[in-house]
Amino acid sequence: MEYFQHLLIMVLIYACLTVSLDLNIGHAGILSFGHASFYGIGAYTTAILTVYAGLDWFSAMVLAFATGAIIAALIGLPTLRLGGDYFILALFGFSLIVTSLIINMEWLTNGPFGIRGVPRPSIGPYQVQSGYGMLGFIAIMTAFIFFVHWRFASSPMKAALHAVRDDESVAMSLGINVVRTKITVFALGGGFAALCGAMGAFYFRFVSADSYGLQTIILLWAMLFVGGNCSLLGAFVGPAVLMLFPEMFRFIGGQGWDIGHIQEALYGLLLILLMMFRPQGLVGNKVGLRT
Amino acid sequence: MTAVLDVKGISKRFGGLAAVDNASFTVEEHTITSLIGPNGAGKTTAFNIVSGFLKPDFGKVTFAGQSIEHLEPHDIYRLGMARTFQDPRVFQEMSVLDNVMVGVRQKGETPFWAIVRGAEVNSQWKAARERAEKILESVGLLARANEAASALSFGEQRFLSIARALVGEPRIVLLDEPTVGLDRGTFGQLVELMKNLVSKERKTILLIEHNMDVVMSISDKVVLMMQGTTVASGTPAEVRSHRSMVEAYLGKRHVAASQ
Ligand SMILES: Nc1ncnc2c1ncn2[C@@H]1O[C@H](COP(=O)(O)OP(=O)(O)O)[C@@H](O)[C@H]1O
Ligand SMILES: [Mg+2]
Repeated sequence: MEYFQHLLIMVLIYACLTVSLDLNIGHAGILSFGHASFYGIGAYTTAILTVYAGLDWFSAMVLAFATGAIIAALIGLPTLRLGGDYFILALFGFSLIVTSLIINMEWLTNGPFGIRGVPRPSIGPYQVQSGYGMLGFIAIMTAFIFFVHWRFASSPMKAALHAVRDDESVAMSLGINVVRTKITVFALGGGFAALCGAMGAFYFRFVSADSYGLQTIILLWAMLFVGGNCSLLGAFVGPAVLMLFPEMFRFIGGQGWDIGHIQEALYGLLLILLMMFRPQGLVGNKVGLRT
Repeated sequence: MTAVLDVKGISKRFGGLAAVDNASFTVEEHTITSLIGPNGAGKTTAFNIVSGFLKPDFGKVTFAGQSIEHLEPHDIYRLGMARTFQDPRVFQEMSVLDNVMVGVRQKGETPFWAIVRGAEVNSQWKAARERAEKILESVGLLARANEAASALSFGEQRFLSIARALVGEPRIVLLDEPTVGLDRGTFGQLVELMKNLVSKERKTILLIEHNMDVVMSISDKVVLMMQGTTVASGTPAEVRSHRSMVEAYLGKRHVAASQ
């Protein structure tokens, strides 16, 4: 049961990451390779502020969001003007730098050892404990994040974003400030990814650099494209499939069968098959990827 | 008549090529002005300068009394100037209605107001939808409002792109070769639409057009561009009698024969 709770919490955190990545990639056409880094920035901001600075969990979470959003805006300002492929490379470079800084700024991040002892959130006298309490907390945060993204996708903002995604020149010709729109959306993506980082930090009570690198970026992209772009449901389905997929093998293969080594190959195979036979994802609303 | 748009001495070089070279013209309010000239004369480049997509190397563009040559396209649109492109460039994956609604700037498209909403945001959105539907009706596409734009024929996409440019109620609209690729029926429909825009809706149109019958019949003023420069300007009849115009459109032989 506890393990099932753990899986559910992981699916919810990844769903929140996926839906905010979808705001960038699916809706705005911003092919962000920095999402895992903002996730990490949020986790570290939360850990540093609560463990080292003794700040309360709520303020830490708000500041994590702000830090992710501000860093994303600062990175987006010069890089979003670059063409699609240069932007991908620039953000790839950014994510390498973030990982390296986390490992090397030992005075702030405790280097490769990570930071332990992040406190659990509390409301008044009630301290959220592991198990159902934590599942409830993550579920409430997920509901909030999905509510916000649903509002975005059911407002005039959606058409403006899609216009920017599909034809920047035409969008400009219709009065849309394309640069500002892209920076805003990228900052929101960074902020929400950082918020997910805070959720993860509260859950694991531990942050370390290796959770926010290249593997995580690839996993997030895979989750988005398996579920499908521009779909709130897809942002659940993608993480659910990719989190539960290895579990199925665990049960089928029996306890002794370690699928760790072939897990990534299976992910890869799944992605290839999906792109061949269902490019819009399992429940997506947009066909394929466009740069 | 006052000039709502005043273009003075604009120039633009691409490398060694002077695409626009000291071009000047004015557009009077509530009129149709046609920019004509052979391929490569610099008409589209002049449009791009006027609408803010290119910054001129020299020259001034004044719109409604305000100097705009340093402004960005989105600012110029908000001042009341809309444009179309040579290709329809509709948003293929969006519905026909959404394509048009993109042209309406409103509060609810900013993240904060998208979340918070409120009466003003909702009423603006509703008004945008009604205006988009009205304009789709006027171009005969209302019945197809909920289809994907990609389902439309080329001609229908052209009308959609014009509807999209009109929905923000611009004071002036710049149309780049809107009749190219239309069949006879839709061609006439578009000419009617342009006439109505000026006579009934009190709009102003700046038009790039190759079809001389259209130019001569609907223009209040014709501006002839050759090799980046505006070489003649006047009523259709005046420009028709201009020597370089005759050369450009009827061929040198005709000029030689008439001498
Ligand atoms: N972005 C550009 N870069 C380089 N040359 C261009 C560019 N745009 C237009 N030109 C050149 O400028 C000249 C004028 O082009 P254009 O304004 O499109 O003419 P028109 O619309 O009158 O046919 C042409 O020789 C064209 O090749
Ligand atoms: Mg042209």
